[in-house]
Amino acid sequence: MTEYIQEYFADNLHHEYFVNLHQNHIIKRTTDIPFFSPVTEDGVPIRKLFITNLAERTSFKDLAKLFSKYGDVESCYVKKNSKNNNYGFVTFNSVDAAMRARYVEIRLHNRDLKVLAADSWHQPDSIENQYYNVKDKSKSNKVSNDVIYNLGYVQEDISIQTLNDDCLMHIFLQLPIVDRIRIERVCKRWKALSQESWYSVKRLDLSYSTWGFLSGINRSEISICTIRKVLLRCGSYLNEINLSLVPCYLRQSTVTIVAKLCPNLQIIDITGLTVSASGINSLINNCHDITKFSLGRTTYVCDADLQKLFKVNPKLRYFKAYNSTISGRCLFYLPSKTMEEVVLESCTYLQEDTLSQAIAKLGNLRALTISKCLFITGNIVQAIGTHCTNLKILKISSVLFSVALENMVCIAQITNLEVLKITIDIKDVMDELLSILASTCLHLTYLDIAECFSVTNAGIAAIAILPKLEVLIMNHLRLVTHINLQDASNLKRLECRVCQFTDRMMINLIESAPQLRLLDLSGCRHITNKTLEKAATLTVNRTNNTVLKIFVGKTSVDLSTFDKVSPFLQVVNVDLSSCNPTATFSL
Amino acid sequence: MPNIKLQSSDGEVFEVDVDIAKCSVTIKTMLEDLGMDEDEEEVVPLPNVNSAILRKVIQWATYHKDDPPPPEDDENKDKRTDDISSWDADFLKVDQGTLYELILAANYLDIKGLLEVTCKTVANMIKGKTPEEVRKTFNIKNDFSPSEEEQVRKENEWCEEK
Repeated sequence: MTEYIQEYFADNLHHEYFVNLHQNHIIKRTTDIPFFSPVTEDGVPIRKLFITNLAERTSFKDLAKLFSKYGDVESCYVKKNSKNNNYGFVTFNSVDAAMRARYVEIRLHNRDLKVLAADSWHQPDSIENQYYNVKDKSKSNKVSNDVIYNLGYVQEDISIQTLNDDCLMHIFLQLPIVDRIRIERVCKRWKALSQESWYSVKRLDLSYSTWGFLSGINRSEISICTIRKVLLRCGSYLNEINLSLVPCYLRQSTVTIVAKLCPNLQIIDITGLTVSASGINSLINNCHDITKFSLGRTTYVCDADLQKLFKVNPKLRYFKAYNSTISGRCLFYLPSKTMEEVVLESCTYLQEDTLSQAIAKLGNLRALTISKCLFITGNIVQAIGTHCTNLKILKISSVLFSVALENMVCIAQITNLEVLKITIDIKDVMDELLSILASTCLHLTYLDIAECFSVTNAGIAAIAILPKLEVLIMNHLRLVTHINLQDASNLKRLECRVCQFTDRMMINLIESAPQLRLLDLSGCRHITNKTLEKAATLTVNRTNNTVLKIFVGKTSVDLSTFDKVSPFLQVVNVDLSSCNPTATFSL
Repeated sequence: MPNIKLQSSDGEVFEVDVDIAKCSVTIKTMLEDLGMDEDEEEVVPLPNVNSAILRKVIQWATYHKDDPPPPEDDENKDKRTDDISSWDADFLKVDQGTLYELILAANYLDIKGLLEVTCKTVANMIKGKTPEEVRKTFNIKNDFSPSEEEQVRKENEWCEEK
């Protein structure tokens, strides 16, 4: 309950709220009698009031006693805030009583109290709370509405109204959200059908193609109120919600509302939002079918709550924490049997020892990413190599690490590994590590060792024997001057930005790699038109319909004198060599 | 290639390549269930489609006979209405009445591609319009009482024209 209130308060720090607050206050002071609606803007009866400007000594008893003058007080709550801006809630058992309290000026302990209606979704009679309390009741209401609306209305001449409900709903389903809601005003039949059509909406995000054009309002003004109105229509049908790209400020209570209105969600991505305790608790109480969960910033260390969330979601198989405040304890409670993938990105609060213990429990993982999180130690790497032997995908990157070769070698025990990305550059032993990996991880198809600066020709020669290699990313390896893959027949993508390779090496490579689709040579200064000309001649004869794309930004290539044409060659003058800031820094 | 005969509601009989006719799931099921594949003399009656519309449907199906089958799951698909091919756009330059009849026929015959493209065309006529403009475009009577309309308007104020 406390978190809920805190969240409410945090939300209301939002400036528009204060504008409202201010306006209301001014109205109260004038002699005109203001008009207060007995319901919120979307028709929820107002019984709960939000009271601010409380004196420090005001207790909930004082408040309850004072407000019981206007009617029976059902509940009362006061939050004592450290900043001395205490606030409270008073819930009456009738709308009339709440109305009476809203129309008078109330003074208590030398303060003029500010009395406002609490937001719709906080009202005891809101749809969230109703749905939550008496599920059956709200259902039966809905049915009776449908019956009234379906009394149908058909015009005589050939009109869009001659279409049956099925067809009309098909049309409505082609409309973006904004239009689909706006047409509810056209006529009763359209309203009913438009509302019914939401049942086939399974996925929601905030993209333009989903929402459409809001005339007069731009997308950055999608607020939690608008999202809530849409969720009231489709929330219970949704399987997936993606709030990773959020074009606007969304209050912390967004997750709370999403969870309450969308109990059937399976795939949740809220990496674009900040989540409070109330949000996670709401997920715990409402969503029990989650299979994929991606969490973003959190306002507190949320391991304990995540633990509860994982407990009620036994089908979870994917968990991502991006920028989240977690210590890692929650990872102990992931359903270890079903978990397939864990992604930890920029979670700087992760504890090294906790993480390595947790990894030991996740033996069934197929994919693991630990990126920009913490000081990577030998324990972590060792835990991965010893316990997660089913891994097919492993990505570890961090600027800070202290790992010895004998720890890293553990990774070589994961013989099923298909995708490996390491940006942990252990001085002097990288070549040795690569040769060990190349001798055991024979299924590797994707290898990313970008920025492992101490890799030399010996290391590259070692991985050249990997039989299935399709993607090799070796950007910024400044010590590497030579590449000669023994078997490049499977190679599809090679990135070697800012490398020392010559035309001859590249020509050899293109010659031996008939499947090559992408060759990123940005910043390779030794590369000239010779490579391109040969590439054109070589690709002309390709029979597999594969186009080779070569990036040549910041090379010695002169495109104005390059005139060979091949239907299977595409030269792109783009320079990606400075894409990674750390790379440019170290060069 | 074997042909089959389709009979429209007004009695006209069309001879169509079986493969083209089978883009209609309704006809396809009918042929499979009744084993009508063998009997070439049999005529398939389509009591819900008149000859003018059936002719257009066959024209559409003939042009699209080599299209890849539509994907099964609509869920993750982008809801775009601006991806109507120029041939389809030309094909659908018809009066509203014909358009609706095509929608009904596509729905009855269960031709996913045709249903989608016709519905998109109508959706494009609705998109971005105010409710009053929509009523005018489609000649729809406003059957809300003023107070009912005010209520709906208020609820959805955020997506109204400003």
